[in-house]
Amino acid sequence: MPDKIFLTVIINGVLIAGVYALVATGLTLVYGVLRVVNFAHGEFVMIGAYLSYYLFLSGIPPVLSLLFAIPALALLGLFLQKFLVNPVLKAPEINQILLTFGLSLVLQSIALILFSPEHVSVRTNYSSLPINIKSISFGAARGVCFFMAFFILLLLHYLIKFTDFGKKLRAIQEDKEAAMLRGINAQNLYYITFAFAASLGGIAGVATSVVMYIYPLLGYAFILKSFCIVILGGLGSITGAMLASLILGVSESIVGFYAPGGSGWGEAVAFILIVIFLVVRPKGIFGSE
Amino acid sequence: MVSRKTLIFWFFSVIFAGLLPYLISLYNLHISIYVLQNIIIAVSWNIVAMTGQMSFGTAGFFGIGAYTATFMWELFKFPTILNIFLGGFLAAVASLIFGLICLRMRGIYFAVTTLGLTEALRVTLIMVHAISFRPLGTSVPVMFGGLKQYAYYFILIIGLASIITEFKIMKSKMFYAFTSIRTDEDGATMIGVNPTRYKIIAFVISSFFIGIAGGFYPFYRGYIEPAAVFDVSISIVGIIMPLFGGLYTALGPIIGAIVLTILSEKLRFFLTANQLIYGLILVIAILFMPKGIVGSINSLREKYPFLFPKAM
Repeated sequence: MPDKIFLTVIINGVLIAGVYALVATGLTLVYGVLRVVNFAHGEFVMIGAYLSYYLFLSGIPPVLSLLFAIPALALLGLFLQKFLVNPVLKAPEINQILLTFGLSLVLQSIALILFSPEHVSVRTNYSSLPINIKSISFGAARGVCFFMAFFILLLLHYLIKFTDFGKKLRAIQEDKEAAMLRGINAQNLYYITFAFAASLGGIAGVATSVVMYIYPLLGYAFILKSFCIVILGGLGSITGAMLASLILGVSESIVGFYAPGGSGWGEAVAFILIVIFLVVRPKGIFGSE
Repeated sequence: MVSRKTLIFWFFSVIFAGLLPYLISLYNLHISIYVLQNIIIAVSWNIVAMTGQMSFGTAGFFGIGAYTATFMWELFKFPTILNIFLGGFLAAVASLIFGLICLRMRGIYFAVTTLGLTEALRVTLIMVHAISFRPLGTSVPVMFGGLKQYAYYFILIIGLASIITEFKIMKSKMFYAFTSIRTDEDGATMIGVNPTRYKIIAFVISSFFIGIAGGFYPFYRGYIEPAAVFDVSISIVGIIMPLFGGLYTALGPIIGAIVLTILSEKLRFFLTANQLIYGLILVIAILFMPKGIVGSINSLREKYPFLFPKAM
């Protein structure tokens, strides 16, 4: 039945979109609050994935290694915010982009030196277990990965919509001066946001480690995709980013299944989506102005 | 007016560059060709940067030039130099179309889309080879029968042309338009400068030279494959060298290209260190000397004039 196959393709796309959403949310959060485009965001994913790999080697399952990855990446985020991002907050955009791009090169090459350039993977007992629901099939690992991402995204949604911290974040994003006049400490929020975004990247890395190969340039593979998502969803919009990751995940899955040459077209899909959107709707799905 | 001192400086520089093949070993000549290639890339990137746009797609246009030249040779057996110029021409046309799409937007959109373009082109070429069962690499005849001296003179002429273009731009009215767009795009629009138009002009000029440098690549090496020309490190070179030497200055990209290319060639024995050093240079340069070497020397001169004799 061809429509069953099509459904399978769609479901697999949706499952991978969970991770994309995690990565892109961190990126868009930093942009929304700090107004900095972080090219090194993909490297947080890579570091998270390697953490998960080495913890797995010493017997800790990926779901539990989240507990290590979150504080570790948050610390790294705080450190980077203090010494690198903070000094250029008022600099021109070109300087900020070049700085974070340089940072990503540094983190990549440190990873190349520390870990071997070979591809490694986390092989759990559900790694090659298929799940069949009414003849729609997907890997159990993809399911685990999706639910990790889904759970964290729900938590994030709650945090931003219903807590005091979330209110402050949204206030800063809306109007920085007005928020500061109301007594919100922007500087503190910058630190928290960057650390928070870094751990989101780390979580995405742990989730990815279950379904993909891990290698030092993993972050580079993610950064273009997450930029595509952020542009599609509108810079700074979290709901937009979630919807856009679904679009990217599903389109990649469809192209991977139906196009000649299959999943090799990966990066091209993201690019074509960006170009289509820049032509049709330059401000993204939910963007205004 | 160009002062007499500057003229003398350039006169001797060109004479020196012209005599270089007779002074150095073949290996160093190879490095010199590489330096010139990077000067073209750095100068061209700087032209776009003057309008406040940051291209992460240098490798994309380099690759378009390289593959156009290769395909022209395969299909029509044109003479080598014509192939190379057709590469530059097609890169310029591609950048015109591409610029019309994404140069209306500011900063980050352009940076990301150019990065995406490079990746998409690389993937497309790999897939086209895979689907048509062609081997991934293509061999072409080496230009001038492999005589490196002639290849050096060819790329030297292109390099000089790109430098002269850059200087002409900096002396012309266009430079004021570029600078006004970079510093305040809304203000520029207000006084009647059309930002998109000037951004596209800068982008097309820059891509033309990058395309020629790309077209030169296969005919100098005799071999080409997608991963080598659509390599992100070519885009990185384009960004780091002007930044290191001095953004928006005329001499900066040239100095940056000479220093960093020689440095990275001599450091070749530890390959990953190359990228690490580039990354560190970027971070340190942005944090501590955002104006590059040329800018830092200028501000040193303002602060401590006694360090610099009048003649400089």
